[in-house]
Formats: sequence, structure tokens, C-alpha cells
Amino acid sequence: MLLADAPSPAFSWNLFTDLQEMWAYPFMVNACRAGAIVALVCAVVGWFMVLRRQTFAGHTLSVAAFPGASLAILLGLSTSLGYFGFCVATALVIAALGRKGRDAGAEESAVTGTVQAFALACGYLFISLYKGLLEGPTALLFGSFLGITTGQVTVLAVVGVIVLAVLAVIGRPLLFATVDPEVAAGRGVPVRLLSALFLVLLGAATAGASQITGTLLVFALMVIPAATAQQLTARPGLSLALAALVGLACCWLGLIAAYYQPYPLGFFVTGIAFAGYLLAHLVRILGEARGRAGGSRAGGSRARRSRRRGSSFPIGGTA
Amino acid sequence: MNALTQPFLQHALLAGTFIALAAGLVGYFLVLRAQIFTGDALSHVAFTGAMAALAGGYDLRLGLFAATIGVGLLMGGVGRRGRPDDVAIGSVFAWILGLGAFFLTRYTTSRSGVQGGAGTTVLFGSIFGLNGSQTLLAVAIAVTICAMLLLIARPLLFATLDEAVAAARGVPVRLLGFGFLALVGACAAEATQAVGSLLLLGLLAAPAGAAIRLTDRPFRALALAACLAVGEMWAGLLLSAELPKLPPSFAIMATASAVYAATFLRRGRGRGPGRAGSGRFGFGFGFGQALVMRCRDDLTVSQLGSHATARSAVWTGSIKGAAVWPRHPPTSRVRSPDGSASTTCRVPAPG
Repeated sequence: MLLADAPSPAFSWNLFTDLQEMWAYPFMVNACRAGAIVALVCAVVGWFMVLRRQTFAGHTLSVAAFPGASLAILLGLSTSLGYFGFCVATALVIAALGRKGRDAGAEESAVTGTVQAFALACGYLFISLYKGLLEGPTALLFGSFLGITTGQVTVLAVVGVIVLAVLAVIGRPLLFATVDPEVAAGRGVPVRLLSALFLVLLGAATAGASQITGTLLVFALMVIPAATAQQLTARPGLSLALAALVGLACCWLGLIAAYYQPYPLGFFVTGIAFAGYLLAHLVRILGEARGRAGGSRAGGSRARRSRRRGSSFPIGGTA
Repeated sequence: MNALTQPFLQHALLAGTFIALAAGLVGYFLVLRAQIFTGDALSHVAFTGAMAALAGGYDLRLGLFAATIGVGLLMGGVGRRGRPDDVAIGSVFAWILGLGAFFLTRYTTSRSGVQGGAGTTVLFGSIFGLNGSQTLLAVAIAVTICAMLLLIARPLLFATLDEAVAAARGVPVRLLGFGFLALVGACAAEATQAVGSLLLLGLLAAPAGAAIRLTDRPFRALALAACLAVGEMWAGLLLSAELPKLPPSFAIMATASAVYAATFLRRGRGRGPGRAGSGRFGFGFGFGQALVMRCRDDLTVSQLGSHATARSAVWTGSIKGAAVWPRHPPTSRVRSPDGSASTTCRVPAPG
């Protein structure tokens, strides 16, 4: 494809010329822009998702993106339409179904699992009916950064701004409803409405992420940055910012790696994100071990904090 | 119909029957133990295992079984009391799937002859491609899985419904949990050959979910789940043989989903096992309560919400949801401070 025309890009350690060379290609610029938008939106939405323990719902939504995209290809529509349409529709369905099954957790997960497998099967049907797609479903499932157009970037940006704006408005009550739904409901917070609204936002964010990492690897940008940040700090604001930063780093490093290597983008993004997650675990365990070693409780935590600040880890403060 | 005389369909029917039987039995416990997410994670692992074996030049099935059983046991070991945590599973399987994509690319680029077909085969199954010896092996493994599951079915059911009591009665709960995860792993690898790694979750969840909706009795539901799975497999295979445009895995999943959806129509009011509504009190209630406790057990530890709040939310939630309050409100004894007199007062019913 486009990369074949390039004089086989080689990584030199001069980062400045590397970036210049890379961004000479418009598709790469688009990919970086789209990646930045998606990483930011996903990290913020994913942060709430991890807190709300809705990873399974998030996964189902991301899976729904596959039949959406393949149906759009089959019908000759824009893939963005397929991604966003199907993800948001599935979010509404889950929100509607989840309401009555509040206590029947086992059954709800059976429903989710079935819906998920059926969605994938439909996607496979559409792909096999279409036949024209060169690589089969692989590009849709595992991500590709070659085909991102300026129009898609605009759509992603608009959707991203809307999602973040809505989340900024409902952020505080949502956090309250997440941490303690009973008390929140008692104080008059519309818990059910918030949770439905959040699922729709989740759908929109997953649809965006699917276009970068492929529908199967959305978790790399949704869950892992948020989980990493929550390992490192318990303060909501700080860990939210940290999640966005981690997501952005994963996405751009992945794009750079995928530019130089022939493997799918999704592999690099997941690999980098997971390495970061393990590192965060390690940091937390080391921090706990040091805290335990350091004498009394108050003195220990203060010592730990100051020692952390002096060390190479930029993150201080465990609550 | 003359399609039945074709050997590929006969192989597919034979292998499919036993694979569906194993999937139905294992899936029932998976749903009951609220470990569907584990099944989901294993389905992704199956893809990576198969792709790694292919890229390394080994038999596909070797990688499949080694990866799923290994990861199944690993997840049991990592999680609390043999129960893994959502976020950790999510992170790990995203990475593992990414690794699968890496192996897929390695495999397709290292050998010029093969194209992306191998990936699609593993992801979405190729039951019509089985030959005679593969069929026999698949049947043998599926029969072993069924036999082992039936062997541990009784204690496993006990441990699933009431873990604390089972442990007190001397049932090796933890060991059973591990053994079950190993069986799930083997079953996932089996089902991958039939419907593919991405769709095996449906084969595990849909018949079991339907069976649980149809009956409250555990062993009847177990048998029903197995029967439904086999029936759906047959219907899907025959449908796909009649209409060549439908891939077999799609036909199987569509039938399974349709049957599950039909069970929702049958009981329009949507009473799951967790709601012990008007009619069935005795076992239904205990069963539902056990289910509620079982699934909530996974959800308690959140980093901001403390363990205690989550617990209390679970209890208030489950009592409200179960809508069961004795006809005569319970009374409690209140002692006066000097301990001489005691009165009884009524505890108001909630809501």
C-alpha cells in the first residue's frame, strides 16, 4: 500500500528528522491526530468505566463495532457511520436490558455474552458476503492506520468534543453515583439516567477507538491507561490526567513503531500499554514495601512520599 | 436431503454434536458461577495460542489446548480465591490478543503461500474442514471433558451455590475451582475448532442462559443446556449446508441466539433466577440469593468505594430486588439498660 512507495523507512536515532520524515506523509499526520483524539477521549471515559466495573459492557460495545463497520462496507456507506451507529445502538440496548436484570448478574452476563458472539457472527457474515475486502476481517479486527482520512479525523474530533463536554457536565454526579449508588440515589441523583447516558458515551468512545486499534483491541486504549493510573494514585483528578497521558503515550509510540515495522498497529499499542500497566504494578508494590519498611504509619508515608519525589518516578502521593 | 451423504457434513455433525455437548455442560456452570468473562478471555487466548503454534511451525491444536488450559489455570491462580478480577483480565487479554495479531502477521508474511485465511479460520471456525482423524480426536477430547465434568458436577454445584458451606463440609472448593477452569480451557479449545475463537463464547453462554431461564432445578438445567447446545449445533449445520451463503459459525450462533431470545418471549415478565417472585419460593429463593451473592462477590473491591459500602449496597440491593420479606415482620428484643425488663418491637419492612 502507501508504505510500499516509501523508500523503506528506517529508524535513525535522530528523533527530529524521524518525525519530520514521518509527518511528510499525510496519512501519518492524520493517524497521529486521530490517535491523539481517541487516546484522550478513551482514557477519560475508560477511567469511569474501570471505576464502575463495566469492562464487560465496554468489551461488548467494542465488539459491536465489527458488524457495524462490515455492514457499512457491504452497503457502501462510510465506515464511521457504521462504527458510531452500531456502538451507540448497542449501548442503548444494554442500558435497556440491564435495568430489569439488576439482581440477576449471572443471567445478565449470559445475555451480554450471547449478544457479543452474535454480533461477531453477523460481522463475519457481512464480511463473507462482501468478499471484496483484501485482507479479510483482519484490518477491522486488529486495526490499521493507513486508511484514516481527514474527514474521519474531523468526525472523531467532533464526537470527542461532545463526549468530553457531556462528561464534564455529568462528571461529578456520575462519580458520586459510581462510588456509592445507594447514597447518591437517596440524595436525588438520577442514578439510572446517568448510567444509561454513560453507556452511550462509552459506545461513542469505543467506536472512535475501534478505528485506531481495531474492534478487538479497544481495551488497550480504554482499560489499560485507566487501570495504570488507578494503580499509581487514588486521587480522582490526578489519575484522570495520568490516564490521558498514558493513553496518548501508548497511542503515539504505537503509531511510530507501526510505521517502522510491518506488524499491525494494535499489537504495538497493546504491547506498550500492557508494559506500562506491569510497570505501574511494580511501582505500587515497591512503594508499599517501602512504606511498610518505614517505621510508623504517618512517618512512613511521609518518608515514602519524599523519597518518591526524589526518585525517577514522576508520580507522587498515594492516598 | 442429499447433503447428508457428503463426508464433510457427516464429520461436522459428528464432531459438532460432542463439542456442543461439552460446551453446553461447561457453559452451564460458567454462567452459574458468573465467570462468563473468563470464558471471554479464554476465547481470545485460544486465537493467540493457535497463531503462535502456526507461526512456530507446530500443530495448531497443540497451541490451542496448551494456551487455553494454561491461561485458565493462571487466571484462577491470580484472582482472589480462584476468582479473577475484571480489570486485570481485560488488560491481560487485550495484550494477548495483540500478540495474536503479531503472530498472525508473522505467519502470513513468513510463508508466501498462505494468505490471511488462517487467521479467519481460527477466529471464525472451520467445522466443514474437518477430516476423519481430526473428527475422531475432537470427539474423544469432547467425551473426556463431558465425563470429567459430570464426575465433579455434584460437588462443583454445591461449591458454586454456597461456597462457604461447601468448604465447611469438606468440599475442596479451591481445587474444584481450578479443575473447572482447566475444563473450561479445554472446552474453549475444542469449541474453537467448531465455531472459532471469537464465537465460542456464544456457544458457552446461549444454551446455558436459555436453560437457566427455563428451569430452576440445577440438574435438569444442566441436561437442558447440553440438549439445547446439541440441537442448535445440528440446526445451524444443516441450515448452513442448505444455504451455502451462510458460514456455519454464523448459522450456529444465529440459531443459539434465536433460541435464547425465544425464552425471553416465553416468560414475558422477565423473571430471572435472581428474582424469587410470587410463585416459587423455596428453592428458587435460595438459588437466587446464592446467585446474587456469587456474582456480587466479584464486584466488591473498588478502589474508591470501600469494601464495606459495596457490601452494604449488595445487601440492601438484594433484599429490595428479591422482594421477599416474611409475612409477619420480624421482631427484635430490646432490653432496658438495667437488664430487667425486655420488650419486643417490630422491625419495619423496607420501602
